Amino acid sequence: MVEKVGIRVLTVDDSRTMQGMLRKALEGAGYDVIQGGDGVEGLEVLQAADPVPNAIITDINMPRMDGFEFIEAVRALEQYKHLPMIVLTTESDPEKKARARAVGATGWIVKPFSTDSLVAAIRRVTA
Amino acid sequence: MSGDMDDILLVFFQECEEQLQELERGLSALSDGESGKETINAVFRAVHSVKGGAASFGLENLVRFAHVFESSLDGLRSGRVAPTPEIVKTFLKAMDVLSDLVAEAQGGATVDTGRIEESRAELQAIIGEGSGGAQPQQDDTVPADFTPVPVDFEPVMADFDFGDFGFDEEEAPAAASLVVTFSPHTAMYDRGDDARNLLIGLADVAVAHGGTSTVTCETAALPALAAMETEKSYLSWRVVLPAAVPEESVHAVFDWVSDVCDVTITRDGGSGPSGGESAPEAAAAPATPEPPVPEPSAPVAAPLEATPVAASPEPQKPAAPPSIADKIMAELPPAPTPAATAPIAAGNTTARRPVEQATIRVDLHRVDDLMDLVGELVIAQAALESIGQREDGGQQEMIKRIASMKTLTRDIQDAVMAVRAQPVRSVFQRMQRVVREACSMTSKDVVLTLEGEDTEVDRTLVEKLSDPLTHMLRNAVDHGIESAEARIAAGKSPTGQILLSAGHRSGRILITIKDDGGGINRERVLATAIKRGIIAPDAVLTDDEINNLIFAPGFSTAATVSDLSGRGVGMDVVKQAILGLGGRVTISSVEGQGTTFCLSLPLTLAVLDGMLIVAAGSTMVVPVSSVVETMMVNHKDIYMLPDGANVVSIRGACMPLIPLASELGLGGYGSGGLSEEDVILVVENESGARAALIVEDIRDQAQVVIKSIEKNYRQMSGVSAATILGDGSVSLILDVPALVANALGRIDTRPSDVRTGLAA
Repeated sequence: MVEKVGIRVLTVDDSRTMQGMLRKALEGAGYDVIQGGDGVEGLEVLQAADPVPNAIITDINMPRMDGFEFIEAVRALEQYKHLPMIVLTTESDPEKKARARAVGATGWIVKPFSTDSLVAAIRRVTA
Repeated sequence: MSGDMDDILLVFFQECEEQLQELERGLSALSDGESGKETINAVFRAVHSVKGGAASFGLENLVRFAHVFESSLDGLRSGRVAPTPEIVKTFLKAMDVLSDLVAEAQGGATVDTGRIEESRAELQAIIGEGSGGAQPQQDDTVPADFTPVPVDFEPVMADFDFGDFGFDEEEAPAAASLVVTFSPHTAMYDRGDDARNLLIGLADVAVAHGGTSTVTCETAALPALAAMETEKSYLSWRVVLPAAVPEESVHAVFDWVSDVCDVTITRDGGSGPSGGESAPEAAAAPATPEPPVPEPSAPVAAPLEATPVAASPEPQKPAAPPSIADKIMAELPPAPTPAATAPIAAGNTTARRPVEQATIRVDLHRVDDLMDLVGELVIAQAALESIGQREDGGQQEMIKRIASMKTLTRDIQDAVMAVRAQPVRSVFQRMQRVVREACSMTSKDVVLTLEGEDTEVDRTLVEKLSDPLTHMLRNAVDHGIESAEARIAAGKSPTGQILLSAGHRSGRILITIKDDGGGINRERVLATAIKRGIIAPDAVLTDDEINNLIFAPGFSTAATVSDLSGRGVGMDVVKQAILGLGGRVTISSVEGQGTTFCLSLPLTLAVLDGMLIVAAGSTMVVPVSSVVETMMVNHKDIYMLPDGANVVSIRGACMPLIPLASELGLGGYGSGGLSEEDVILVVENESGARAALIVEDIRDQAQVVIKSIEKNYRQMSGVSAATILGDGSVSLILDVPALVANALGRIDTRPSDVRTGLAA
């Protein structure tokens, strides 16, 4: 059994493949993982979550509510103002990066990710 | 561990399948002129998702192609490209390539490189990109240090922007250590960025270059505690990094926050003491509007002797030193090399194939319905129990309860079937591609219209429909639809129309394939059938019978054997497949106006409506669908033919009389020893030919659950399956068409002769 580190991460991605990989990577590192299939669901899961997650990893390109809108919506809620939010996407377009930054993202990881770098990233933002 | 990955890979392929369907749907909407934002986004997202997942598994061929595809779709999304019919066609072609690449990744056939290149070039042409077809990938998608990863997680590339690990930089030759000063604006903290992350990022860079970082916190700007504003930024830092660290790596760390902090980077020549405010800019740097105060989340603890080196043993072994990675990429020609993915395709995936469709996704409400019914079943059972315990036995009550239990059982059966039911859409949409390919091979222009894609059938049926439909649609394009010239000459539009529709009819599913082509040329069919010895030269056949000849084994009317069909196996195989599913095929054709094929199939392969009959003392099941009528035996109507076979005349129509018991080898009747009690079942096979089966009795009509006899015993001619009856006994389900064919085959080998024999 992996030792729990007592940190909860919300992952938001419409790809079940990606969700599966994230869950495996994060749970393998001892994190508690909750998931949402798009921005709308992510927001629901976030608000229903108890305890509140320590960090969020979100995709950009999703149906219904995309990553930018999701980050913005989360940031609009006072209690999540400082919640670290990392974008995980295949894109590395500087404009999009700037937009993510502007809406309040904490970091940007390019897919495909390695477990090590993902865990390192979360460790940094949740340290 | 790897088991997990296999699971995820399975999910990925499943998802690819869904995305490809989504893509197909979107593209056909586009080609119908529906170019709404949602449609385009959905199309884009489908390709994007495939790419994202593929990248995670190191499926390079797939990623590269998906990337180019995605870029062109992005052109569409941004409005730079309009969805003209030509462009949509290019996308459709690309979709086919993409779907083949997915299949390849799953262990399927290797996709022809020429096809990929061609499609790639077309895609790039759309957005006016490098016609050379050379390295399409920019910094994104396939990053330079992307190495094909065997199906395991390990070192796929990651790029954490606000703290690039910097292992992808050249060693800096200068021996001078790098001094970084960094002072965040209040805005940085407002945004939720943490100075600590940046310091850790720098420490990581230092570690990556084999050294450590030394951090000094600059607290001079801190006001007195009373004057401190908690949300303001007062601190700045000075970080000394090893000489080997290139400046770019430092920039990368601050990339994310460059607009909300001041950063200076200087090389400390080693000669000049690196004391205090050595960097002149450092003085200017903290010229932030407000005087500093530690922000809550910033580490206030003054001189942070950052040796997080040991504290954060982040396992980032310089995964792939850039030079090597570059070499790998250089060795990879722009065209996807099969070799690159070979280990994946050949190794892990092949074994996975059979499992691929092992899961289904079900609407939650259907499962809820089932749950409700099961709840009722539990209640009904409790009621029965309580009746059983009553003094008087409660006979009447019991009977009533059992009756309601029967309804309930039926409902549960329906509910379970609903869970297994799937819309035929997935198969129907695949047919678009079949028609597209058939068109390009025959240089015809055909539009396939789908109707009733939401019609639901048992999932096993859905899967098994694919092959027969493929054959039939190829045939429709190849033989059904005429050449454009012939069509124009006949006063039709040069574009052929094929309609593929599905619907429910009296408990069966009806699939129709209708083309507006030339129709069946009966004279030619007849001539061919005679030439091939399928029928006797003097046989007299009805139009319907002639139409049905195209299903005969070894029949082909195509003047030349084309690439596509015309090997004369197609329709025969189609018929066998449909029969195997308990279905029927009928044809109607009007010369000059087209041909319609109707497939009628059972909704499920799990249950059938059966007639319980008795032959040689055993109870057997005849599918109700094959029984036309039943009647008592009347000796006057039975005639014996010279060869010893019997025929029965029913209202003037003669048909072979087959004693079931002896046909099954169970004895019972000698030659024609019929009893007055016997019953005749008039049965009909798929082509409408009738025969009379003699059975001893009809017991009941009931729904029976089909149990494979092949799986538990072996295949038997004339018996399609077995079932368990209410009394617990095992009973055989008869394969009527096969039985009849066997019996007639024994009378004579060729149907035409039977016919002439009957006529005599």
